[in-house]
Amino acid sequence: MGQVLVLGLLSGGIYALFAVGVVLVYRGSRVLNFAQGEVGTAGLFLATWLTVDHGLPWIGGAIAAIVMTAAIGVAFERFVVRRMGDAPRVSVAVATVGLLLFVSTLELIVFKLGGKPRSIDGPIAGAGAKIAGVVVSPTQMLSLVVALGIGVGLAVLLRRTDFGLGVLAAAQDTAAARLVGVPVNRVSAFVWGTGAAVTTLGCLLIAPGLGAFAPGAVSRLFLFGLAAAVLGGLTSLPGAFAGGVIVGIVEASAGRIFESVALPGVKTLAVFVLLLVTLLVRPDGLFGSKA
Amino acid sequence: MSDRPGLRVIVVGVVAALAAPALVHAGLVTEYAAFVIGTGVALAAAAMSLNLLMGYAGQISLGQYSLLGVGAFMSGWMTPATRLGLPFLVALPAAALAGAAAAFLVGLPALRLRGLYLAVVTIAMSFALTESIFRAQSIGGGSAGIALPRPQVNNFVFTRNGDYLGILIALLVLVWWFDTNITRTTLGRAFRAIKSDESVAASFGVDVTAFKLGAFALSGAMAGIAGLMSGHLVGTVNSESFQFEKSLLLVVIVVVGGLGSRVGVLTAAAFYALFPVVMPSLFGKGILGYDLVIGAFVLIVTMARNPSGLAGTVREVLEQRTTRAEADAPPDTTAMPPLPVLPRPTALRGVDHNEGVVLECTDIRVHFGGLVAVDDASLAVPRGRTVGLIGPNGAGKTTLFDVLSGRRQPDSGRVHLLGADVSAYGAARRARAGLGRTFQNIGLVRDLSVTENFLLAQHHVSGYDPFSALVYTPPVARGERELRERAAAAIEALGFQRYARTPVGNLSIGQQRIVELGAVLLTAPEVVLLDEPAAGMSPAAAENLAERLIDLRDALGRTVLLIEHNIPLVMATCDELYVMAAGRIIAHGTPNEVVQDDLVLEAYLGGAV
Amino acid sequence: MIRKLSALLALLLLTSCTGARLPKEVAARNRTDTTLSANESTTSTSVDGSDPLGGVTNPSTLPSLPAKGKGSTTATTLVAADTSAVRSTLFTPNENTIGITKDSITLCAHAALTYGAAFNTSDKDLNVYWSAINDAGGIYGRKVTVTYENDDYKPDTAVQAANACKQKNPFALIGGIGFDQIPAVRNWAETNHVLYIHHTATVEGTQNQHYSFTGLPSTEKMGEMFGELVAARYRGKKVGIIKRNSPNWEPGVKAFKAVAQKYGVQIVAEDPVDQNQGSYQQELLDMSNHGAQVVWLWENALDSTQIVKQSKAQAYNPQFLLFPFNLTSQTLNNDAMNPPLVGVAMYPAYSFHDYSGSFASYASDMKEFEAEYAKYRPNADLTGFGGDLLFLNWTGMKGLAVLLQKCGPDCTRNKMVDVMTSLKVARPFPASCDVDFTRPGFPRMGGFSVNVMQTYRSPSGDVNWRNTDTCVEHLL
Repeated sequence: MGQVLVLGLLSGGIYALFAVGVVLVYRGSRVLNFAQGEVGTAGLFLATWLTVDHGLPWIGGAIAAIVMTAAIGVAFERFVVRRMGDAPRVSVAVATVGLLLFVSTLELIVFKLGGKPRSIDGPIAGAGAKIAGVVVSPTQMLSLVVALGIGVGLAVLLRRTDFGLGVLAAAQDTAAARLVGVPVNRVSAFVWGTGAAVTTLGCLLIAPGLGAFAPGAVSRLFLFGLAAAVLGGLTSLPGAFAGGVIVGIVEASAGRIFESVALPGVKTLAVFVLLLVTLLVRPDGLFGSKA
Repeated sequence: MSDRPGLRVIVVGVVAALAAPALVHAGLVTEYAAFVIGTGVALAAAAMSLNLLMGYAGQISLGQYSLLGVGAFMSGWMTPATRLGLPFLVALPAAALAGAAAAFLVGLPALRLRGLYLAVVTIAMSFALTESIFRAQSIGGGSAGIALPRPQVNNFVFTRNGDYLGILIALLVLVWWFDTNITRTTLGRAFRAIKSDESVAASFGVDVTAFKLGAFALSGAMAGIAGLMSGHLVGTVNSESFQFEKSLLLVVIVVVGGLGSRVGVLTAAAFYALFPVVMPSLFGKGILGYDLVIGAFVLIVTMARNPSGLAGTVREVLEQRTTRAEADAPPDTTAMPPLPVLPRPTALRGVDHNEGVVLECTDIRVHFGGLVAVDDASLAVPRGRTVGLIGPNGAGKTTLFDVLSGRRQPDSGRVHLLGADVSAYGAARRARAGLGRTFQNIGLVRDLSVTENFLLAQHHVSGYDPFSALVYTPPVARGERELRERAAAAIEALGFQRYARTPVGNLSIGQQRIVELGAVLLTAPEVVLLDEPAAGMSPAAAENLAERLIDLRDALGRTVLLIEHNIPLVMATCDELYVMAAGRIIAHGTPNEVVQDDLVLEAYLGGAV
Repeated sequence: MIRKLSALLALLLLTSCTGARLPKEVAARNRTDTTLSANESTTSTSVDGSDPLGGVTNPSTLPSLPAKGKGSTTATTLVAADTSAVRSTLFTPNENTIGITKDSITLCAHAALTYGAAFNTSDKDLNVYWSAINDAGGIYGRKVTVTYENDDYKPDTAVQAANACKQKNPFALIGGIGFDQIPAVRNWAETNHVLYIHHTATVEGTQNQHYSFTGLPSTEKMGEMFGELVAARYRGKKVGIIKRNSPNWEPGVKAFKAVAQKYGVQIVAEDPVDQNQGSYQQELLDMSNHGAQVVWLWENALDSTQIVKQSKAQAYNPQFLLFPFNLTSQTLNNDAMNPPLVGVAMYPAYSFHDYSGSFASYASDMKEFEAEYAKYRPNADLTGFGGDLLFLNWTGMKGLAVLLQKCGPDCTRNKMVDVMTSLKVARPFPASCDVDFTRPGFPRMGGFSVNVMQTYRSPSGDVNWRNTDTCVEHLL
């Protein structure tokens, strides 16, 4: 039981790192950004190229990766999202599908991967601690803290600062927000840039635990992060963290409980049922608000 | 919308279906090209299924492709000789039914969820199907997948791609024809109304639950057919064939083509089916990989330049042309035209009630959280009278309206319509029972034309079962003809001929009010609930409105319940007034009695005096 | 879309082989001679590769392979042949000579090429063997051309590729690696009457088929050999299985478990995982909780790499058994050495320029391979993880060449069918194992031997794989 909990927390931490970025973009522009996971992966390749191939320290590679992907996020906002104005959100989501394809193909070409899986160390070396029989690496612990920290930190920023309130207002009603002086464009750029940066940081913390990665390696994890974000309520940043942990734990226990069930894919099925039941009871997710 | 789209589609389809094999046999189209085109045809059918759901009914699905798997595996169970060995033609309806049933189940959560929440549930559904259900041995057939035989007629087997392409085209035409029948009848109008605003849809008598599920089921049936089409083209169905990214591709096709546009979606599907084939053949194998970069870039640019897709671009160009021809909208001060006197729809049996109370509510109570919005309110609206409901902002008038019209369930209290207890009825059912209403912010579908709104308004008087519209039976054709005649008559009576094809959203607010009132009257309601009809009107227009409201009672013989802040208008039109404040009915009487009531003055001016 | 990643993976991974690989060899038969000897030994076990089977060498039946390597002739032993009349009537007279003329043979392959640009793998890399053959005069004077169509590792796209191939009227359709797409193309080949020679696939589903052939061991055989490996080397140890959640992979697992049961191997845990799952901690802990000392990974190369890596991070260090690719071992580096990983494959190990030990028995092929690439594709990187993939592609093509040679100067499709239903030959060239198309119960399948491998630190410093048992059919 304790082990299931620890396992759930660890994979939940991964989902949460993705979920936080998803929620941030959603709060600021009501869009699901499908490209987020892959943009983060592109950052990961840049960091790997700089640190592993060119000897930069981890922090240098990480900063470069975060800056690059934030720039991608801002550029996408500036040249695509903003130009789409108040088009249906599903159209914007489709544009992010285009970005997803674009980035993942470019990864192959720019980094001349030749299909070779890469790996990168985490920011903290060390053996890790054994908790309930699970070895938890320092980076994994850090990633949990970071996921929670970013979730809470951004939530505070949004609720307690004028700028943050502007972000929320812009999402509710762009025209009205502009009237009352919210710098709508800057807010939107902030959300897309920060969303990409947060996801990249997430990828940097997740990658050492994966051991090896290739383009698209986090695509599935990202989709579960999406499920976690929805479960927690798309509008709540702490909810994203909670959603991640819950999905992780349900997945871990389903694997244990239904071990002997002949039906393939019970873990996926369990997450689906969890999502469905939760949303039927609470259509705005566990911590979401109508907004 | 042309008058005989059904016939045209069928003629074009039959010609294409016969021509395809002929061209292949003549050597003008290669077998390989026939296969690629066939892939595109199946993809187009799949995209149309999603277009129905997203483009018409406004329900997002990011797992649509997995429903193709349902149809294909159904056929995998029925057609192979090693299994049931049934003919293709038997599997066809079965695949459609299986797809419909699966989509119906997916649709159930859609009754409570909307937007992206629903979208993510459909992603999860797609994973559950492809990673679990399709991989079960009894469904997926194990490692080899299931071999699907090509159709056979007597001894002739459609083994050649060119021959089978004829069948594929015929099936696409069938799907297209269904789709045409949906969009040209009350079925499609009901979907569009749901997409636009569920309350508005219900106010026109559209049973939102049934039609939402209906949209899912119809979409699922099309997807099931598309799955069967592509399954028998490929010849094998395998759990790996229905991965999530295919569903994403469908969304891309539908959005790039233009939500709601059949031609746009077909074009986009053709593009995405041919792109991977054409690129290498034009630029050589070296393009592989880069073609995806180019395709992705084109997608991003397309969306950034025109979010409404290919169809949107075309539509804009056409609109620019017509709007130049069309005059500018007249100012709001235009006198309101006389309301049309229309014959009762034939679908409504002449049950004219006599004297008595048409609409009545007793002890209605509604609270939001800790706030009591309506507090034991009771009122009665006698036949043939115009009753006003006034009160300060926040008094609970609109909430009470919502309770009367069935949009909101009260915590307690009963509502009677024409003597029957309708407390348990939803809004749509009350609309069908003879209750019409307008909304403060205009209860029309903004992106449909005036004509289409008038057709939509007659949803429950169409006189045919909406789902029989799928095959456009003679009763459907008759019903549609009558609806169109009545709509045309109403437009003429209102003097709106020049705006007949203009989207309602492009009209001025005053014009929209007129259209809204006309739409409500088209259904010949027993009682009409008007929510602030004068809001946003100039004083002159409001005065004119008063005359029309009097007509409504005197010339059209309607019973009216009116919420209005414009006191002169109320005084001029109402026979009785109810006054609400803080959720309670605080006064009731003739207009003159009421305005002298101290309580009323207190309520209206209280804070100020 | 996103699947690009999957293609990616695919490409390399799991299966990874780029091109069309083919049946490994096969040999002879021919009307020329009837006799040929001994079948005693269908199984040849050469422990350290040093000794090719003994037997009658009959150079006359082996028209000299255009290949220059001398090894190829010496190592060949024909074991059986058949009558001189063509027996197969699978193809009508019209279909019979499609794709073959007096000076050309046209072949077409489906394989995953989507990321060709990124992988720097092009048709030309895959066709080096044929370039050499054609420059040396072709097969009976026929130039062989192989063209490729992209199948993107997907069943539907593979069928589309097959249609594209058919358009070119090839003598045979060649199927690249991939558990997902070959069954779909096999079905297609049946209805379209196309001669289909494919890579490793299941026996399951082939009972009523006639047009598909392979000279490689089946998926089931691979699973069975992993099972025997466990029974032979790790008897008494607790065994765990981490397998791909896919019916397409399941027959291998069934075969593994059947062998395990037969020899009393104790399987303590069996966990399905999904492609690209990313995190495997839960499955690894399940293995470790059940005390598994040996863990069999029935997954692709990237996923297997992640699993091993994550296992080490958990300080859980069982003996891993998996598909041997240099991609995995080079990426894992030290983690692949302690203890060395063990694998079973239908192709021989390859490590650039290392002709020692177990490589010695087929060093002539390795040298020939390296010389040809130096000549035709000097920029191809044979040292990296692509080297073993190109080598296995090369051996596949060489095997195909042997088949075509056995088909003779008057080769037709029906004659090819005869070849691939009646032949039995021992190691037609050094890097190949025995081929035997006559086994009852395995129609049109000629491969039953595998190579057992282990990781080692190569002279170049990379961790690569080398054979420990070459061409074994059973380990028990």
